Amino acid sequence: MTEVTVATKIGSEELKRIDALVRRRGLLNRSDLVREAIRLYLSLSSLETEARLRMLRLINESVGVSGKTAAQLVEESRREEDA
Amino acid sequence: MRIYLEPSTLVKLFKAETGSDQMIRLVSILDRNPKWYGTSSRWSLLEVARALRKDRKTKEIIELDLRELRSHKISFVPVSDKICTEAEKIIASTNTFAADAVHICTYRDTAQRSRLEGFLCDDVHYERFKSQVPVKTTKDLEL
Repeated sequence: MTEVTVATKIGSEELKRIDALVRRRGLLNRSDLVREAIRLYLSLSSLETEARLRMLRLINESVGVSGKTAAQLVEESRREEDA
Repeated sequence: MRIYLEPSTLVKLFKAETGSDQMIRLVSILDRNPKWYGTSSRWSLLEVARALRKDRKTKEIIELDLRELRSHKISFVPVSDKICTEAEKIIASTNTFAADAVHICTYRDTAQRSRLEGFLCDDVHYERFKSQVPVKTTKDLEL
């Protein structure tokens, strides 16, 4: 396996969250977390459309939910413009 | 089926609600069956983003969702001067939201060229659009 180093910029807030996650999940270090995140992202991206969309919907539903339907949310946005 | 996707149907992709499964199936068919065609206005991406923000999604999730939307075989039509001019006429003569007018005019502008068969929207918006464009809901889809 060829190893490649990829550099990226991360904000200080994100870095704090990364460090907390490394401790909580018992990972070796930040690089270990980044490798795991990449594997997860690649796995998600390689799924068939239907499976990927269902996974993404699940993630969306677990992040924040207003209790409103898609139609209500779009309608509210339009009324904002109108106001 | 060749269809225009109004943004409330696109938001259904990211919410577990009525019509959400049909939308996921529809997008999956659009990706793999060249006989099917999906289009919407470029403006829809902004409306989807705002709706997700109002649904309390984080910046990262919204960006992920929009990236996902752009990755499918859905053509997002730019809001041209011609579309804006037509939309102005609708707004001036009827009680129509600016965004609604943009969708109606984008549909009319592309319907013939793209051989569109319908304007897919949710039940809530059905009444508003039905006199302007050939409206369909997710229940009308034969997937």
